[in-house]
Amino acid sequence: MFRWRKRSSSSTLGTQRSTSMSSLGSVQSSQSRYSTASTVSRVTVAPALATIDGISASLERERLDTGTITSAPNVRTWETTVDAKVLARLSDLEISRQKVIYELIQTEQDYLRDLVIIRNLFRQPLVDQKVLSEQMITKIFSNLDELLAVNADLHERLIARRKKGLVKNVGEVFLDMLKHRRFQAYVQFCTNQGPACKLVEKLRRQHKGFAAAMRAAEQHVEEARGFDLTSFLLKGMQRLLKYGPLLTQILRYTPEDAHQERSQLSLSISLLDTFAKEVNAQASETELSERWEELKTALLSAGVEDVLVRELLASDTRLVLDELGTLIGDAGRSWPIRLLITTHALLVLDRETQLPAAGPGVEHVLIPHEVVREASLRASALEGSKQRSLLAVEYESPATSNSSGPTLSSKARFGLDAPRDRVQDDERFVLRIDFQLRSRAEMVLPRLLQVRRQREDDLIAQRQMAAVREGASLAARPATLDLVIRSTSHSSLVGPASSQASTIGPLGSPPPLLLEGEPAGRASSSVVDDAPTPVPDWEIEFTDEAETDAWDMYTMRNVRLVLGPFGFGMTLLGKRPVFIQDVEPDSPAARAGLRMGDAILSVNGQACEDMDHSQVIQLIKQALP
Amino acid sequence: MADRRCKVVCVGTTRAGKSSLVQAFLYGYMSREYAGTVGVEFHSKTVFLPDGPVRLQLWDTAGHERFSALVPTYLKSAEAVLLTFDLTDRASFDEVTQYAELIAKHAVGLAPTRVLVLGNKSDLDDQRQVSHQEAAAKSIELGYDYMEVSATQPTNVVRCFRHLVAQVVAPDGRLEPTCMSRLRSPCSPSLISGPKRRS
Repeated sequence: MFRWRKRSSSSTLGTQRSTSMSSLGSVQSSQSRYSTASTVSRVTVAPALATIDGISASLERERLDTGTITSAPNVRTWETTVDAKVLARLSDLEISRQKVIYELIQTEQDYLRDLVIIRNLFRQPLVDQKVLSEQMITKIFSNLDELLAVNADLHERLIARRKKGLVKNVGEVFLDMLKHRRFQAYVQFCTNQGPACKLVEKLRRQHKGFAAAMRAAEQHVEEARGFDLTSFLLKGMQRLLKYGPLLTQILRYTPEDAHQERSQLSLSISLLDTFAKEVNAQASETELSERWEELKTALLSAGVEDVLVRELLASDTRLVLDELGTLIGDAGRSWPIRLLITTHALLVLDRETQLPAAGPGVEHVLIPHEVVREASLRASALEGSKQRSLLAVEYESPATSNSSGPTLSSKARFGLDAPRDRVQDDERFVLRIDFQLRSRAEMVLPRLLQVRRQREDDLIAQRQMAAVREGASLAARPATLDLVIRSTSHSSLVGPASSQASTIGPLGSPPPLLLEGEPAGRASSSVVDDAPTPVPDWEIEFTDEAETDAWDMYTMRNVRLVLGPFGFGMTLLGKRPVFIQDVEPDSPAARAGLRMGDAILSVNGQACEDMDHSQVIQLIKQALP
Repeated sequence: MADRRCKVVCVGTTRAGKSSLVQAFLYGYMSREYAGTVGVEFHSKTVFLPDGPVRLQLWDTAGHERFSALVPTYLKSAEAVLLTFDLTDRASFDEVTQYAELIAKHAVGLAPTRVLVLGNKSDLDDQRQVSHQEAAAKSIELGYDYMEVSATQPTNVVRCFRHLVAQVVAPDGRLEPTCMSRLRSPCSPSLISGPKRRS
């Protein structure tokens, strides 16, 4: 069985109880050394350290009492902590609520303990024995000390609210922490975790001293429980994502009349969710930029010949999305591909070879955002409860624009050309990708359009800069509105023949808010008036044998409106999502093929499916000059 | 002390019952009190196989489903994966393919035998939306094994974990979904069950 070795240095878990002053000193010194962004104020560190010391001490006590430390989390039940008389008075709902709160506090304690273990068992020996440089240690452990301070503080506050085993107002604690952005330290820690784990694995293979130190740490079976450092480093992220579900449970058991607690809990939950999304976005950005570097190296070493691809690899583009799908070629042929969306272009790779895909149905492996005309998503139910979620990207040939040899960045074809003319058939291509799962495809489409709009803005800005340099003047860009809409009617794909307008209107919604007339007909009216016959440019043929039995659930597509003399010509209705209530004949909205009953999912790249009516109106107003 | 280790990662749609499954395995039905609502972050438990103990490291990804950038970190060093879906929820079954792609992408080099598809909530027979045949067929197509479990009964819970460990330790004893009926022992009629019989 495991035996604890007494050490003379004050760095291990064991000695901190007897020398709490010195350990306090050592923690603070390590904090200044290892927290790169030292945003933790002294005030909050002080009680935190007391808790951390307490945990170190309790680890020591357990060992003295039993000779071992129980590796299982505290398995006492909540009932044993409450007086029987008190317990008898509580309602079932309150008992459930208190149980979840108890779990929250217990797991918080376990988590803190794990953080202390990372610090004392894994990091401290590396520092003491000078195995790695300080810089390397920071690369691995990031701002661990900040996490410790934050969570010790949280634990402290929760405990402070516990009276006779009962805790009130948990929401207030979290809301206060969130309002003061106390969890901010997690952004850095979680973003760093991927690279850190890679580094640890690399060092374990290549650095003898480090490998030995890790083995020594893992020898402490009772603390490490057989887990290695990379496992422990994931702890931070795991804990952060658990707060949401825990608070949701607490809210579930909170009585209806506890208004303040309920509102504080709900607000905390939504703030935590937003924060988790932020962390996720950061982490995925870091991950994607690493992946893009790897991909670039792989593609270059494979000797890709395509000029456009080489140009893309040499540019400063960033990877935004990396998704797996099935490419649908001609005559129902299909094969697995990997779709990469970068800030400059779409790139289709064969999933087997990881090289640019080529074959029937793939005319182009690289599609710059400038030539993308239309992106739509059609979700259909197939026979036997199967689904298909087909993303269709309609584009003009990138090759023709390349014949004169301009670079990617100078083409900028999508700037001022709206409303888009119908492209001639021989110049129009459609890339069709099946994502099978609706949720994936629904994520890809808005992201694609968002990136495209961003690219457009960048190119227009570049162009204007160039024009200014040359002393020329460039007409201002007309006010445009890029919408992603969802139609539940199949007829909406046929074309905007107003006599056959679909009539899927939501019932019982609030009165509509008139958009037209608000902007008093400025800007770019000529663009609209001179527009050719109103043929929809989004009409994409979906022909495929497998398609014949398909039943469309809905379609999603992007629509670009250019502000006309009388506004956009549509009225909106409802919320979450906002629907189009009516479309003026011969207005920009009608020409773009909008119909009554279409749901607006995003405005200018900003998702608005969950927004209130007024928020959506606000978004649209922002697009006006 | 078990020096053989096996890192098992549980993935699947929200509400598929990943946490309940892990907790049913860790604590058993005897001590449901200890099982929390949200579940452990990671935990270890020793399983005793005929040729000695194996330390199981269990990673529950509950609460992470919506944060796509954060799940792959788990899969990177996984030695076995439990892919759970809810038999009473069609949509969760449809996501199995997507998770299979994630596994292929991030758990590079993981043998398909080390992935076990679990149809959870087999006790709710009257609300079932995915048939045993269909789920087994899908699993075969993906190259994975398939089992139906119920975390609340609990049915098959220990068995699925043991099966996975056996795959890691001795890759021979593969459970073929096609001949599952042969594996039903007389004393446990609903192990690796098809639709559960109601008495």
